[in-house]
This record gives sequence, structure tokens and C-alpha cells, in this order.
Amino acid sequence: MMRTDARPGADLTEAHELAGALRHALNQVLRGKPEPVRLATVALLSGGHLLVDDVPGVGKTLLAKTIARAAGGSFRRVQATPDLLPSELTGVSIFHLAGNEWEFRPGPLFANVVLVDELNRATPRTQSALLEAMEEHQITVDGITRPLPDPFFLVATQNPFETAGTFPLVEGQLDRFTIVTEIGAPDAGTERELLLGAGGDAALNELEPVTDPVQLAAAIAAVRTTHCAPEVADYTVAIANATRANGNIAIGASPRASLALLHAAQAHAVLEGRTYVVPDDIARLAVPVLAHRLVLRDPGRLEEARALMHSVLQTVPIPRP
Amino acid sequence: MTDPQDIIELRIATCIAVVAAAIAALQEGAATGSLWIATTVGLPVACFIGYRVRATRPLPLRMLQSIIAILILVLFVSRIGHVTDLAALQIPLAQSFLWLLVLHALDMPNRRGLLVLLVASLVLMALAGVLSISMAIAPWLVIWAFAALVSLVLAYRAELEELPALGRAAPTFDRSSVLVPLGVLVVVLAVGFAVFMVVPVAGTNRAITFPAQLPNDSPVRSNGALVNPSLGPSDPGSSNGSSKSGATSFGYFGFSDRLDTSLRGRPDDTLVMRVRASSPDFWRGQTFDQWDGRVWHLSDDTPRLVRNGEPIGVPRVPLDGPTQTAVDVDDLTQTYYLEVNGPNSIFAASEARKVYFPERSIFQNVDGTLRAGVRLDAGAIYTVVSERPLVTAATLRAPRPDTLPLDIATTYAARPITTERVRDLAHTITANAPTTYDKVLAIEAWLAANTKYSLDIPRLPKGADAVDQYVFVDRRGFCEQIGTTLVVMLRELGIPARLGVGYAPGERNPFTGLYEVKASDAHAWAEVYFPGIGWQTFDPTANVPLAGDSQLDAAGSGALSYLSARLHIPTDVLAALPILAGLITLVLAVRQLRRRPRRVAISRSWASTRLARLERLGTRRGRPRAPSETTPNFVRALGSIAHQHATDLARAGATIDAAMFAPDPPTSDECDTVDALLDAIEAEWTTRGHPEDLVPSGRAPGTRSGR
Repeated sequence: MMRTDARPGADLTEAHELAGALRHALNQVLRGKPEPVRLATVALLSGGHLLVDDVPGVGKTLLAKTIARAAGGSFRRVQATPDLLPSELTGVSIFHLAGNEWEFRPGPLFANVVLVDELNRATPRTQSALLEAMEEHQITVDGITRPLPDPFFLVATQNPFETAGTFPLVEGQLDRFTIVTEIGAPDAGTERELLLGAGGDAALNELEPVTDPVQLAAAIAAVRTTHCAPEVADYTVAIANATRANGNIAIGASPRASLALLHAAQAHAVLEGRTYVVPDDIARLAVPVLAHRLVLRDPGRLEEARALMHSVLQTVPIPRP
Repeated sequence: MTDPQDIIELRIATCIAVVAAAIAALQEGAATGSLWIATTVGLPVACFIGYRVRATRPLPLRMLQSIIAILILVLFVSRIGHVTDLAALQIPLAQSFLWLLVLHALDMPNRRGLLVLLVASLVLMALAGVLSISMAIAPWLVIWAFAALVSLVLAYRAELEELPALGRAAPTFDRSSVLVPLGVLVVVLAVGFAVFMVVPVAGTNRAITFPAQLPNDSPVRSNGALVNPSLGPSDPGSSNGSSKSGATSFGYFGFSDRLDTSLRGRPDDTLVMRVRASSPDFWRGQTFDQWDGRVWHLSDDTPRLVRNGEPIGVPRVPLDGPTQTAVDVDDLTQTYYLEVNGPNSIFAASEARKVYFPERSIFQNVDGTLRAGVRLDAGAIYTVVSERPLVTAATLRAPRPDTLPLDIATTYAARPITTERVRDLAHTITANAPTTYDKVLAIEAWLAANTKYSLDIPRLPKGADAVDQYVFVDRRGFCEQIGTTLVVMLRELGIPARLGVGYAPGERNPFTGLYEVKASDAHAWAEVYFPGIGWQTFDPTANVPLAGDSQLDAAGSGALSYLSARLHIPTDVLAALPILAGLITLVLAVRQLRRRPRRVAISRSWASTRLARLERLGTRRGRPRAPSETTPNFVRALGSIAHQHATDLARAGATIDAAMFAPDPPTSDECDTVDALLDAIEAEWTTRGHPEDLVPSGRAPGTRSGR
């Protein structure tokens, strides 16, 4: 698709169309799950990363594979196990005898969409190897920094109820996921349709990419130009402050967290066809963007953080100019 | 919070505004007896009834209203049957309008009804302003403005409280929210003043009929005799014409059959009349032809009856100007509104050609000036159309055939009675002046250089010649002395001249556009005959330009000096105010532009008030908005109450959010859609019981059309 229109906002229009196409494709495969699909689309368009946190068998991997397929570009999948080494993610340099030189063999992180399945089964050492990749979109091996493809979108899954042989993600790493979502079991009707062949893997096999890495990168760049009124920024800050002031929360949302919330809200606005952020974008994304970053006084599961975040949100008034 | 339509104070304020505007309009001539009662009694009663029945709106009352409204319309149509021009529609239209207002006051279920009434009162006020010739509407204007303001504030109290500067919602004081309305006010004032200063004077010449009215029709004693009640006992028309003191009244003793220049009366500042005219001129009452050295007389005081069509056409007299003037003429229409009982002279700029007068007949003096056959008391109105040769200095100097009509030469150019040294002086002064016009200017210049203008001059000694005394002895004098001297000297030179008496133009009130003529504007001047042109007025003391030189002024010209004289503020200070206001406006505008486009600020306050309305609706239906609830969530909740509006509500919420947070405000169409929706829901939830019952069949609750 050639860009023929240089009007400001034309980029946003294209981004909106692209986001809509992505969401539609995801909904085709992951039937009856509009909210996880919405959040996945937002995470992708905001230039962040997605962690799917749910029990096995509800379609975590399916969601990640569908995103990869719909987004086009290269896709790599890593199954995390306790013996997974960092270099198996990043790649290694191998000495080439014939050419008498070192040659870098890129690891699976060198792809547009990377699925890391059961991330919490990898060792902390391997998990932290992901840090640089997720934050900087680059990898340093043997002192040489190599950029990752653009766009770079990492989808990780984890099973919150699996405890044996797992290494819960450290806070710094959780902070690097823009959005953490669950999927949940489908309702009876959707499950029946699934059994009868609608959606699921069958739909995934028929799915054609709706975009390519170049367009997607342009869309992600365009999303950042979405207008944000000062009042909306104030509202975002107020929410972050409210988490810091809450007695049940040991460590509230960091500035990086509020920035991620704003970027996610921009993506959401574009998905909804707007060129500006409204408080509703912020409010709808506050829980999935912020909850997993909170450190509670009584450490508990993500469920509790979500509930707490939800109650914090009720205390922050919507801005009225 | 109480809804605006339930606030009794709002109803009272609106009622007062309407009654004030109606009275102002009635005062200016739209009145009949029944209308006075309808306005002063009917309107308040109707407002009260309208308040009582606002919720029920009984059907019989509304049917009655419709029937009466149709009757009023039929009456109006029947009354305008014989009206030929639009101006005459003004009064019947206003009267019908007032009746309809009374009817409307009976049925004002909501805020919009009240606002319609308020707008109607504005129309009435404007009508009163158009009809007004004086500042008499000012008190009503003040009352109306105050009541209307109170009414507006009450009607929009809810919205006003949403304003950051006034509301409890946002305690932080935002200066821009005060500066913006202040700036708007300043801009409105500045623009209004500028328009006022630029718009040309409304000409009266376009009208087809002119006002004419007499308070009574008591005839004067003999046919066309001059009466002047303003002179009191010195009125020559009154029974004892002996006393000539004159100083006891405000009247000018020039409006008489003789003008004794030895008398020293000083008229006061009583407002004598108002004159509506598009340019200033001398409002002439009559002229004198005979001079005996001390007193001016009329050689022939036997006016002839003029009785012809309507308007009365004024016939030309032998002593008048030529039938064909050598220069262009224009019509100057003057309408005279008498404020006190005055002489029965019909004032006119020379030369009157048509008179709109309530009586079918008037009288004409031998010099062409006019008198009424009835007393002209306070309240009398008449209109004169005068024909003025458009002379300039050049046309007056131009050589013309020196053929004086015989009548004019014998009556006005005969050798005058005066002293030898005055005669010599006249010849000396004008020795180097080639034309009549230059001679007049030379005498005026000599008088200006050698005498002083003064109202305080000594009494004329017995036996002294008035002109000689003024020119050689006192060397002080006023219009009578100056005018008389001009006439005497010109006659000595063989130039026909006479003394005109009347009023100087007076001061133009820039707000009414009328010249306000005071008793002290009474005046005497010289009139000089130019062959081929006619009589021209010369007066060095009054600043009246030659007809051909006078320009059309702006409607507001003189506003500054008029205000400065009354407010005792120097003109330049007053002139600086609009300039200052303009500068402040500019600074405010620049600041506003630099901070944020103002339309964004306007659109935000719009959104805030609409969201507040939604909140009130929600509260009324038991679904208040939580402070942390976003607009889409809230309108979704409202949509589950008013199912049939769910889709529209969602769109309204989006528009409101856009108005608040988008870089570009929504279009006015989108805003109108929101307002219409709010009105619809408000009306539904006000008049009927349960919107749940109103779900249209075939459409499930919460159904959204795919927009």
C-alpha cells in the first residue's frame, strides 16, 4: 500500500485501519474473547510487549501465533525450560575456519514476533537476558550490539498456577511487559463451535497476514503522535500517584509505568478510531497495564493486584476542563 | 438542583423584562387603552397562570390560546387592509405582537419558552428605540436590561456553576475564564461604538409619509395672526399687547410682528423642540423687511390661506426665490417635535415646499414663511420638506445676470434708515470686494475684527440708531446686532437683504439622531438675495455650512462631545477609552491565541455544561455519575435506562469527550445533535413517567444500530 496522502492524521487513519484489521483477524481465531484480543492489539500497536497469564489450554499460544501470522514478518518460537541458556535466545558467535573469522548466528530473538512459551520455567539468568532485548530492542553479544528487527514484539505466556520447577518473574522484568492479560475459558457456545471446527487452529491455518513489518512499524510510529490533552496526562499522573499513596501497595506505579499506560492509551485511541486520547482509554487500560507492576504489601497473585488496582481507579476523578 | 423552569424568581424576572419592554414600546406610540391593561395587568397574570399550569398544560387553555391567536391575526390583517406602505405597519404589528406575547406567557412549560419571551422583549425594546425621539426609554431600558440579565443568569445557573471561575466544581481560580467573557464584552462595546461612529445618518427622505400630530386644535384669534404663548404677557397675540418686557419668559420675542432691538431678553436652556433632519440648517420662523433704525417690522402682516392637498404644497410668492435656480437643489426633510407651547410659526429651512400638517390649511406670509391656523402646543409634530439650492462659495461668486425682480428690489434693497458714518463704513469695507458674496464676507470679517460677540450689552439709549450704536459705540453685540448690521449695510450697497428669525440648528443628540433645540438657540440672521439662486442665509456666529458644502456625517458624529459635555469628561479622554479598549482586546486576543485557540476553550465549556446536563438527567433517573466514571461508561449506563436513545447517547458521549480532549473541537452539527438529544430526553423525562415504557416494539432493549 502506497501512501499517497501527506495530510497530518493520514498516518493515524492508516494505523486505525491496520489496528482494526489486526483485531478482526485475532477475533476470527480466538473466538468470543474480545477483551484479550483488544489488549493484544493495543500492546502490539503501542510498541510494547505482551504477557499472557493463564492456565494451559485456553489459547495463550494460539493468540501469540495468530498475532505473528496476522502481523506478517518473521516469527520465532521459544519453549522456555529450566535448561534454556541465554545464548540460545540471543545467538552465538561461531569461528568460521574457512573464512578465518567469527560469524554471528542470530538466535530466535531476531524476529518481528517472538513467542516465549512458559516464560516462568526459564531460569532467572535466561529471563534477564530478555531484559535488554525487550527494553532496548537490541542485543549485545561478545561486546557487539546488534539491533533487533523493527518492529520487535515479544509475547510471553505463563501459567500462574504452576509452581513446581518455575522461577516467578522478577519485578524489573514484569515492568517491561506493557500489558499482562488473561484469556479465560470460553463460554459454552464458543467452546461448542470450537469443537465443531470454527475458529482455533483451523482458522489460524486459513489466516493471511493483514500487514507487513514496514507498515506495522509505521503504524506504531504514528500511534505515538496521537494527541494527548494536558488534562489526560494529569489524569494518568493522578492514577500513578494514587497507587503510590495506597496503603496496601508497597511500591506503586513507576514513571515508566505511567508512560507505558499513556502509550497504550494512544494505541487504544487509534484502535477506536480517534486521533486523541480520552480518559476512558486510560481508565480501561489502567488495570492490565499497571496491576502487574505493583508490589503489594502482602505478596499475592496477580488477581489481588488487579482487584486492588481496580479499587484505586475508583478513587481518581475523571478530569473536567 | 431545581430545574430552571421551576424557579419562581426566573419567572418574575422574565415577566418584569417583558413588561418593561412593552411599556417602553407603548410609551413611544404603540398604545391603545386595552393594550395598556393587557401589558400591565395581563402579562403578569398570564405569567402567573403559565407558572401554575407549566406541568399539566391543560388542553382547553391551549385550544383557547390558538383561537385567540387566530383572532389576533385576523384583526391584524383586517387593520392593514388600507395601509399602503411598510412604515405604517409598524404600530399594528407591534400591537399584535404584544397581544401574542400575553398569550405566550400563558404557556411556558420550560426554559425555552421563557427564553422566547425574553427574545420577544428584546424585539419590543428595539421597536421602542426606533420609535423613540428622546431618551425617555432609558429608565425602561435599564430595568429591562437588569431583569433580562437576572433572568438569563437564573435560567443558565446550572451551566454557569460549571464555569471554573464561579462553580463549586473547580475551586481553583482560572483567570482566563474571567478574562475571556470580559474580553468579549470589551470587543462588543468597541465594535458597537465603531459601527455607531461609521454608519451614516439615516435619511428621512426615503419615508413616504411623515409624522404630524396636534395635541389640540384650538384656533388662533384671527386668521393666521401670530400668537406666541411662550412670551407670556408680551405675546402680541394676547389681549394686552402693552408689556414688552419679554425677559420674564423663556420665549424669544423675535417671534412677533415686530423685533425691537432695544430689548434685552435672554432665553434660557428650556428644550423648545427636537428636529429630525439629515443635516443642520436654520429653522426659520419668519423674516422682517422694514427697519426703522431701532425696530424691525413686517410691512405686510396679512397672511394668506393655503389650502390644498395632503401634504400641503407651499406656493411660491413673488418675494421668494426664482422658480428656476441656477444650481442643483436638494430636499431637506425636517420633522419638528414641539416640547413646549410655542409660537404658531411653522418652522422650516428655507424654502419650504411641502408641509405635512394635521390641519388641512395653513397660512403663508408675504415672504413665503408659514404659520399655523391653530396653536402649536407641546406635543405638536409636523414635517416640512424644504428645497435648498446646493450653493458653494464658487457658485455664489459666479457672475449672474444682474436682473433683480422688481418686488424684491423695492422691498429689500431700498436705501436703509441709518447714520451717515454707517453708510460710509459700508462702502469703505466693501470697496475691494468684487461680488455680493465677497461683500458679505468683507462685512462679516470687519465685524469679527472690530466688534465682540456678547450677550451682555448696554441698553440702547433713547434716539440712538441701533447699528450705529453697535458698530461705533458699544462695539459689542449678538446675533440681532450682527444680522441687522449686515442687512443695513448690504441694503446701503443696493443688495437685497432681510432679517430672518428662528432657531439655530441646536445640538444633535447622536443617540437619537435628533437636533435638540433650546430656547437659547433662538436666533436672528441676515438673508441675502442672489439673482438666479434665491435667498441665502449668512450668519458669522452659527456654524452652519453652505448647503452645497455640508456633508453627510456619521450617525455617531458628535457622540464624543455630547457625552463629554454631560459626563464632564474631556473629549480626548473619552476618545482614548475605545482605543484603550481595543488595545486591551488585542492583548487579550494575542495572549489567548498563544495559550490555546479560544474555540477550544469555548468547546470545552460547552462540553462541560452538556456533561453536567447528562449528570442531572442521570441523577433524576437514579443513576448519578461517579466522579471516577468515564463519559462512555456513564452514557452506556444512561443508555440502559433510555434504551431507544442508547446509540445516540453513545455518540453524544463521544462528542462531549471530543470537545473536551480533542485538538480540534467537534463541528457545530455534532454539537447541535447532542443538544437536540439532551432536549429530547429532558422533555421525555419531564413530561412522561417511565421511559422504560417507551421502548419501541420490535427493538430489544439495548439494541444498537450499526453506526
